[in-house]
Amino acid sequence: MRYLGLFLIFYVVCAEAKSVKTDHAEIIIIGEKNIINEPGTIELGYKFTLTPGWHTYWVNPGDSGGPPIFEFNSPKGWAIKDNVWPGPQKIEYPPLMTFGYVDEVVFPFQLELKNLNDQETEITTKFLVCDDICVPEEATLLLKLKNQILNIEEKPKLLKKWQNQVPIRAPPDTVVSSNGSLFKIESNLISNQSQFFPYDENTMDFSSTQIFENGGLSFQVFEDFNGSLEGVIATENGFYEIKGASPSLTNTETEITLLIAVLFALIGGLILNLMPCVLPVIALKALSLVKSSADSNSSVSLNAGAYVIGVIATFMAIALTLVSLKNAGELIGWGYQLQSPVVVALLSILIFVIGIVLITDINIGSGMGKLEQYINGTGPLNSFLTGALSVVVASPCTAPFMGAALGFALIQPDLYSYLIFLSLAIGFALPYFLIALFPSLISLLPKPGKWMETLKQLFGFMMFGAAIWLLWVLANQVDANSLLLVLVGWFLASFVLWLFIIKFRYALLSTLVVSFIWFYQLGNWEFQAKNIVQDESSTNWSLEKETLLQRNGEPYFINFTAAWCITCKVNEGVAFTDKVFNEFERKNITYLKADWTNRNPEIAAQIEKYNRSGIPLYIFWNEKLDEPMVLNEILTEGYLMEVINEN
Amino acid sequence: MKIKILSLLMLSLLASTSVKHGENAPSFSLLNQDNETVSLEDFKGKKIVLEWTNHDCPFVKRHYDTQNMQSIQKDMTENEIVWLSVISSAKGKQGYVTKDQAKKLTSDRNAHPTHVLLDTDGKVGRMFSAKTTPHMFVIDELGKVRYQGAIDNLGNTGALFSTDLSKAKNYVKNAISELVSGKEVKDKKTRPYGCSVKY
Repeated sequence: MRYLGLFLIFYVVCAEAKSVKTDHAEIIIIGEKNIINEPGTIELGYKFTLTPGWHTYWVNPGDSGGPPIFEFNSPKGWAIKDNVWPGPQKIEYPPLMTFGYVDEVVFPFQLELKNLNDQETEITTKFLVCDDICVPEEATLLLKLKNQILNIEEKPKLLKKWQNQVPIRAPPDTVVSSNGSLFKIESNLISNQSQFFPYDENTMDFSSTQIFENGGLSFQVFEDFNGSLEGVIATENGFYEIKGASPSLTNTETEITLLIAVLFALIGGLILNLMPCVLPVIALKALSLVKSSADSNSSVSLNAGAYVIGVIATFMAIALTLVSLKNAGELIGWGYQLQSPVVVALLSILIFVIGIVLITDINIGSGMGKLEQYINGTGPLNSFLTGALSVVVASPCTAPFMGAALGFALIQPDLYSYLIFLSLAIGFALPYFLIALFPSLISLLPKPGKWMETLKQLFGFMMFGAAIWLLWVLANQVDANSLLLVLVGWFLASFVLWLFIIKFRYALLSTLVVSFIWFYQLGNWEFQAKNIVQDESSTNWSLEKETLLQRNGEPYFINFTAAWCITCKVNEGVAFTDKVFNEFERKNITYLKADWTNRNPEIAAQIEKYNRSGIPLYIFWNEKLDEPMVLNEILTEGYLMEVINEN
Repeated sequence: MKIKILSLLMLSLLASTSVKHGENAPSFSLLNQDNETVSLEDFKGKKIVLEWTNHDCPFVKRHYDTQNMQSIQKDMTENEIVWLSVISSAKGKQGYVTKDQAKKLTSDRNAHPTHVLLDTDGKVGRMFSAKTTPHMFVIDELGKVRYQGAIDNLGNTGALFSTDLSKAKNYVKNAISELVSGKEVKDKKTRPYGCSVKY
């Protein structure tokens, strides 16, 4: 063994790498290890040590200079790959700007060894080494493999350092936008130290100013630039490659979709009336209008009008809250309210109580606001409050069904957000709006009678269904103890309702006491977020995982989902069949699941990058696609297979 | 935000003073090697070649050492084409010369410029956005810029030093001959190569 050691040392000494010195540089090939045990790809690098203060150039040298050139022929059994270019630094000679490396640089490259036979070759490099003045130089390096020893200098750390400086594909959160010839690159990794280095000379004035602001880097390109923006951006985390961003596409796109979004919001609002948790409330309102149609037409108009105003006011209040939260820097999306277990808990109790009221036809004492009267009663105030109530009750339903549209609304400029919410509100209130305008329409509704009572009770059961669904959402968010607290809340709510029904004298007092105790508990009882085993499961999405997959060129599919998202669950049931998963496996597509049931800023930020803030959202990527592909919101097995196979 | 963007736009306007193809070359007056004032207007009606130069720059040296530059200059000036060699090196920087040194350089190298112009403060160089030595401009009889960029296609690192210059594609020669025969200049703008101008 000792002799073997000596033997190795002997050869290491023999294969000692030799650097080549020129007037202003010393060049040597470095690597990780010079003992080569098996054929394969060897990571190497051309190391240039320049006269202190002198520099050589990046692949795009800027206003003057030129990148080093390496000339070689791969001998038998070898394949020498072209070198890669570590990110450069600015080297300014006002008014000129050049891009390169000062004092030292390593250009990484790969050597592919098909066998371990002795072999050697010469690599000639021509390069410019410059200070204030510039000198063209040339050096010929010998790369030699003898007795499995490669004549390189072992500098694994230095090689790694420069390899890490080679630009990688920008993380998916990087957004390039343009307004005319003004470009902006946004990413949370960009800082005021960041700099964009274009690959192409015809892109921009190299010495033009680059302004950092609000997490973005802005700069001007040539007026006649119409190619796609390609280059490298220096960030805190290293260099990223920007590829294929064309000028002025984003703006027009936004305008078109704004119009569509407003239209869809209007239609969506109308459809909301049919949602299981909304329909009962609204249908009852309609019924009460029918009842009141016995009164004058003007009273019908007044009631319907008050209801419309109630709806719009509540929607705008929600919009205002969401927009202010957004402007305050909170990452939110629609469905946000359902990520708060407290909100889900209270909603479930509210809907449960409405259900009981509907099936029991109770008449709560007149001493307090009659819940039933809020729904059933007439009078403008009641109608206004019913409007507000139906929006609140509708909100759990809008989340799963309207997520994408409202998500779009939230990432728009504030004014647009309000516009979209307004049209949603108008759509939602449209039937009543029409009744307010044309009270005679009410005569088209069936005549009141016993059937109304039966229908009301039926609707009560729909409310129970909605309440159960909310409980299930909650079960996905919190632990069993917290869930128990909510069920106790259901129990107490039904109990105090019963006290009212039997006309217990202290019903109101009992309600206050019970509510106080329960709410106190709720405040104390920290909703224990269920321990979702985040990173242990291999299918759980993280930005890191996604970036890694992209970097390695491995295809992936991301399912952004949540327990409260009905569309997501339907899609998962319908489209994610064994056949699809088998196809994923066959094509080596990594399946990642981003679960948004609980609040998660990383997921929220990611969804926003796709100009969404709601789910479902499905993303597919493979090497052939420049940008990750956003799939339809409604999935079928056939559609998924098509996407996988055609891209 | 708005102000920053605006200032960015203005900065870029200031920066993009580079001469545009087909537009009038900026007019200037400079002192030549004999201390005479030479203006671009003096040569209205003639074709003009501007050559940014720095005699110590290896790229310029290569063109002069191989007699490549001189032969083109001779060829041009014999055909009534004005050749102005401009030196924008600041005092103390590489390539800076006095008037006497400029005259000596011309005779030593057997060069044939119509004038050697001294742009020591770099004003004219910046007006033309001259980036490298050599950086060439061709101006037609009407004072319009017809070509700007490299002298030839040997801009790749080392190419200039390992190629027979007579075999290169010389953009300036081509532009002039295209202008002479009344054709549109094919290569209107190329990336200049060489040493940076030592402003």
